[in-house]
Formats: sequence, C-alpha cells, structure tokens
Amino acid sequence: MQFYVIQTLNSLALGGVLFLLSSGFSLIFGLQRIPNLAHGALFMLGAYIGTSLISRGVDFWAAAVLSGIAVGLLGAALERLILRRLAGNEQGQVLVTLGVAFIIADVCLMVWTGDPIPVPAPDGLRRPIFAYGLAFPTYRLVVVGVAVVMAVLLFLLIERTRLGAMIRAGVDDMEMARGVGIRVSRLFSITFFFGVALAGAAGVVAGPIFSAYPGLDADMLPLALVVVILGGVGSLLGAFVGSFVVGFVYNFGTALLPDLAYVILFLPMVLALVFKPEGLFGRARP
Amino acid sequence: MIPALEVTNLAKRFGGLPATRDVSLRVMPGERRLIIGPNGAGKTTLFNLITGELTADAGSVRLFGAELLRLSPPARAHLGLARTYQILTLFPRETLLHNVVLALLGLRRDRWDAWGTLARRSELREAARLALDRVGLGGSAARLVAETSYGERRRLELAMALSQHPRVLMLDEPLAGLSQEERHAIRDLLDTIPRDVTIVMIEHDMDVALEFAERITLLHYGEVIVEGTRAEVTSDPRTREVYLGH
Amino acid sequence: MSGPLRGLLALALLAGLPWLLPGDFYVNLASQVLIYALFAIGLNLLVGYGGLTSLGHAAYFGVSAYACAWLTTQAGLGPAAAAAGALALGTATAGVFGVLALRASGLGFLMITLALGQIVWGMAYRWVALTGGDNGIRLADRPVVLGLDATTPIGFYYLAAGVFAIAFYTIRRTALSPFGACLRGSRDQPRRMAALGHNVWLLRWLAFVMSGFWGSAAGLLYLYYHKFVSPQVLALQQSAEGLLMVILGGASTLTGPVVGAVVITLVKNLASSYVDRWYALLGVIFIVAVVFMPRGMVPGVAGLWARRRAPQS
Repeated sequence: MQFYVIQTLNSLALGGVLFLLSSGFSLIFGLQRIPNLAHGALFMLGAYIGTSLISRGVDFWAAAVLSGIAVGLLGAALERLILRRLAGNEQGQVLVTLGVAFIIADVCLMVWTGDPIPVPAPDGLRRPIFAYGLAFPTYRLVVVGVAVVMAVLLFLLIERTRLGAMIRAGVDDMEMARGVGIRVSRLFSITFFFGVALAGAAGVVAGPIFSAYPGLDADMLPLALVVVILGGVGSLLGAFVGSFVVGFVYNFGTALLPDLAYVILFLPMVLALVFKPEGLFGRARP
Repeated sequence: MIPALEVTNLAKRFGGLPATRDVSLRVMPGERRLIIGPNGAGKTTLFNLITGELTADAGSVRLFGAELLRLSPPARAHLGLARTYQILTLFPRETLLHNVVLALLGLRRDRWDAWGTLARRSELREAARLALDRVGLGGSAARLVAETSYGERRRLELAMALSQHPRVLMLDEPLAGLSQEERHAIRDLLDTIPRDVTIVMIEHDMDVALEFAERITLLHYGEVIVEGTRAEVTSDPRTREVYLGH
Repeated sequence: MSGPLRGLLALALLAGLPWLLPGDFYVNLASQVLIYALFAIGLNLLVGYGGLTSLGHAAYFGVSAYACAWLTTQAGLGPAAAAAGALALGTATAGVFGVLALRASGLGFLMITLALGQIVWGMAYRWVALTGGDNGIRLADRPVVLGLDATTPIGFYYLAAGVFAIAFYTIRRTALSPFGACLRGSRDQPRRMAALGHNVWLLRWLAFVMSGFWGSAAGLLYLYYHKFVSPQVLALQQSAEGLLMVILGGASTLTGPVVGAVVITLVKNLASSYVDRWYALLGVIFIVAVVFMPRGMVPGVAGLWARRRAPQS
C-alpha cells in the first residue's frame, strides 16, 4: 500500500514538474512555431544556477524565481539576437535552438563539473507528513501544489488578460493578429522569456527530486516532447493532462519494469500518433 | 448519357461557417462550363471539394458515374481529373520541360523506378515537349520557371494539366493577372482543346470567359443562384442582383 | 569534365588515398570520414531530396550496430548472417518509425523523429539485460569480407571505401531516377504532386526506408571499426552531427554531405586535441552554419564558380 501511495505521489510530482517544463515549451511552439530544443538544457541551467544561489544562502523559493529570471533573460537574448534573424525559416530556428542546447550543456559541465549536485528541499518541508498510517513525502506534495497553482495562473493569464488575448490571437492566426495591430515581435520576446523562465524555475523546483546533473537536459527533453505530442501544441490543458499521463506512465513503468521504462513511454506516444496526430487537445494544423 | 461531372447536394462547413451549401450541378461530356460569382462565393472551395483537397461534409461527386468521395486527390487524377491553380504552384527551380515531365509521371507506372536515369527517357521528354508546343512554349523547354514571365507560367500550368489527357479539366482562374492580349491568346488555346476533354472553369474576367462558356453556374454564399446557358444567365435579374446588390 | 570521367577520378582517388597518407592514424581517420559520409549521404535522401528534416537518424545507425553486436556475441551468428540481420532490423525500424513520423510533416515530423530517437537511446541505456547498458557490447574481431582482411587499418579502409562507393553510386542513381525526381517534386510542391496523381506519402516513406538502410550500413561499419557499441551512438548528438554534415555541405547536392562529413569529422578530431568541449563547438558551428550558410558550402562554392565563368548576368 505504501508503495502505491509513494509511487502515485512521485508520479504526480513528476507530472507537476513536466507541466512546468512543457507548458513553456508548448506556449512558445504554439505561438512562434518554434520547438525550442534548448528547453531541457535551460531547465538544467536553471537547476544549476539554483544550486549556486542556495549554497550562498539564498532562500529556496527566491532562488527558483531568480534562476527563472536569469534563464529567461538568456532566452530573451537568444530570441532577439539569433532567432529573430531567422524569422520565416522555421527549420533554421529549430536547429539553432539545438545548437544552443549543446552549448549550454557543455558550459554547465565546464562551470559545475560532472558530479551531480543535490538540491536540498526548503526548510520545513523535509520531513514527511504522517497520516492514515502512511508517510507522505511533503516536498512532492508541494510540487504538485505549485504545478496546480501555476496552471491556474497560466490559465488566468491566457484567458483573462489582454496579454493572454494577444497570445491566443497569435496562436490562432498570426497574420490577422498583426493586422489588428498586435506588436508581434514584442509578443514573441515576452512569451519566449516567460516560457523559458518557467523552465528555469522548474529546474530549481524539481531540484530536490532530480538534483542537478549532466544529462538532465537529455533526460527531460524527450519527456517534454512526448507530453506536447500527446497533449497537442499550444494547448495548456493538453500540456496539463499530458504531463500527468506521462508522469504516471514513466514513473510506474520505471518502478515496475525498470528495463522497459522507455519502451512503455513509447506506447502512449505511438497510440496518440496513430489515432490523433494533432494530440489529444490540439487542433489539426494544416 | 452519363454526365462528365455530377455534383449532388455537396456541403462543407468550416467551423460554424457554411462555405458550400447544398450545391448540385451536372456537366455533360464535352461541355464548357463557367462558374462565376463574387469574391468569397465559394468557387475555389467547390473546386477543392471536387478534386479532393477538401473533404466534403455531405453530398457526392461523380466523374463519369464513378463516385469520388472516398478517393484521395491522386486517385481522382488517375480517373481523369486534372486541375490548374489560381495561385501558381509550379516547380520554380526546374526547367519547363521538367515541370511537364513531373505531370506526365504522375500517371505512369515508371514513376516508381528508382534505378533508371530520367534524363534518358527520350519518349517521356518528347511527350513533354509536345505538351509545351501545344501551348506555344516549345522553344522555352530548357528554361527555368524562375526565368519565365507570368503569362508563360500560366501557359505552363495549362500544359501540365493537358499533358495528362484528362477527361475533365478544371481551371481555377486561368486568366488571372494576364494582359488583354495574353487573355485572348489563352482563350484561343482553350478553343483548340478537343471535345473529349470537358472543361469547367472559374473566372472573374467577364469578357473573355463569357465568350468561351456554353453554360454558366452562378454561385453566391456557397449556393447555386442561377444556372443555364450564357444567354439565360446574363439576362437573369438575379445575376445582376448578386453582382450589383439590387 | 564529363560525368563518367569524374567518377573514375574519384574512384581512383578513393583507392589510392591510403598510399598518399603519412601513417595508420590518418588511414583510420579517413575510414572514420567514410563511415560518417555514408551516414550523411543516406540521411540526405530524406533531408535534401525529400525535404524532411529528421533529428532521430542515429536510431538506425545504432539499432544496426547493436543488432550486429548482439547477434555475433549472444546468438553466435557468423559475420554475414549478423550483418544481414542488423541491416534488416535497422531498415525495419526505419519502416516502422517512418509510418509514425509521417503522421506529420515539417516541424511535427522533426519532433517525432527526435522523440523516437531519444526513446531508442533511452532503451539502450536502461534495457541492461539486452544491451549491457552503459557498458555496451564488445566485438572480438573485425570480419574478413570476401577475402579482404578488415582487421588492419588499410584493410578496413578498403572495406569502408567499397561500401561507400557502392552507396554513393546507388544513391546517385536514385537521385537521377524518375523516383528521385518525384521525391524532389514532393519536397517542393506536395499538394501539386498529389493533384498530379503522385502518392506523396509513399514517396516519402520509401525515402525514409532507403535512408534508414544506408544509416544501418553506416552503423555496421561503425561497429566493425570500433569493435564496440555503447548508447552514445544513439544519442541526439549523433543525429545532430549527421544533420549538420548534410546542411553544412549542402542538402540539395550529392557531394555536399560528403564535404560536410569531411569537415565535421576533421574538425572534431582536431578540436579534441585542443578543446575539451566538442559539443559546445558543435553547437557554435550549427548556429554559424544555419545563420550564415543556409544553403551549405557546396552550392555556395558552385555559385561562386559559376559567377566567375559568367561575370555579367
């Protein structure tokens, strides 16, 4: 019983982390048609920056926010300086993000070396909560909470604010959005910043669960991709549902059949592709 | 006699917007049919439904009696349906000859040959050259599309479609953007097409197209408003209403 | 210079190269270039001629290498059977992955190929019982092929050169065939091609499978060269390197990917003596290539050459 409770919580926590990671990815892809292949690396960079801040005494949550902002600024610079030069060349933009991913991964290796760096959970959340005769890892519960809060905030942002309306307009029809006077290039910079900052902060939030280690980027990117393929591009709800589906499948898969964990990850993606190529919630793009 | 093209109760909605409403028409073999209507009337949508690039919500399309609705665009091409496009979709980095060769290959078995050399298929190249000759581009066969004029490209579009010896030829605004002189040249060209090819044409240009048409279908808001001979449609008060609003 | 003459010259250069090089190290380097050139020209069928950018091509490279290693060490098959099995499995994987990836095109295709490639990589790491995980699988010896002893550097070079020459010739024929023309047509105007009667999906899928076959062949050579395979061969970096070779050299040409393979392999080997961080350099080259040389080196140079010969135009 304890096993299933723990694994369920772990799955929820993983799902939460994946949502924080992939919502940014989905947003950028949905609006700018750029699959940001550096997203995993930026997540990892955020985690590493977080460890440095925390080791200097910065509060955990502040470190998460600061890391997010730092990574977000890097992303915004990338967008303005390089991606914008390649406007219209979708493929070129993707390949550039791949190049950036490689660079960031190697820079992290240089700066923080190859040993995994554990990230301590914030004070007060380290001891488990005891209830119903079971021990619940407190921090993982908190991660799920953060993900839900973030989901609600993002939903409100997208559905209830002017910025959100502009984003939705852009996702629906870019030309039309330009036509009604939306400053598209500024919108791009803002969304890219947000999406990437979210990934960076997520790296820190996920730190107590994953630590910061070389290869974290390569581990997270395919998960984010599967989430987006499952949930549909540009769909927040899709990213939410997809994240938890992947979280459960991957987590239980790894726990029950460690050798075949990746094969199991295959399955939902293949099914999605065969039956609904545009994802569970996305709209079929022409 | 079996109609060359028979459209029955064809309908298509985009989201909440009905683009094609219960359209029925019947084109007999050898006929020259003109489809007209103001912008947004759904003419190109109708074309796309007939060629299969759009899937209809309801209704049927029959080519010489064969039901097309379940068939993909390539399958319809193999049944003898050819079309040209309003916005040119040529292969710009290739020669005119190569463009026609690709059209010819579309219906030939040896398009799957991955070993033989295409440049050595002299019979294919001859057929392509002949198709270009028919539209007056024989001398330009070796030129790249990017180096040709707009009028020449329109003629290339036509050559590609004709090279497949289609049973029904669908022309989407073949005269768009052409000078008066060029328009007449194309019109003369169309006149030379034999009667074993049925022609359905969308056009805006009234003078030239009107002369060419035998029967006319007027579309508005996705519906057939008037249909009949040229004389009938031009004198029908509903036609004036559609175009002039009163 | 006429076509057949150029071909003979290239063949002569290929055959004579080991004797012009100052030592075994360079012969081995040339062999490595050939392995990656094979990978690149195969990938180019899909990327350059098909217009479908794949970021998961290392999957067929790796599946083939692992299959051959496993069939040799675990199933005790002889080299011919193991190689045949490896090629079959690699190509079959391409067949299946092609069906999945072609549910989309453009960016969707790219993401699916990436995800599939990553999943195979993850499998190689985790399915320790099958693949040995991080430890990989070791091969006792290189094979003797048709009397050619591949255990020596020169012997292996000739094996790689022979396979490469056959591949290049075959791919060239494919490019010049009706199929090749239709494939390029489907890259440029897929909608038009469909309206003309072409089966665009099938054209693309066949290109995918052919490309996977040559990737598998390259993987086989890789295994024989190193006598070792580990999950690294399936990593995203491997797919990215291959793609870079194609793009850097010129995706729309036959020789472009070869040039790209030469440049990248040489830079990689040279750089590792001076610079610890090859992947950062790879990333930089990627960005530079995409931003400044989008059409690649071969078309760029060919353009310069053409402009020199016809100064007014």
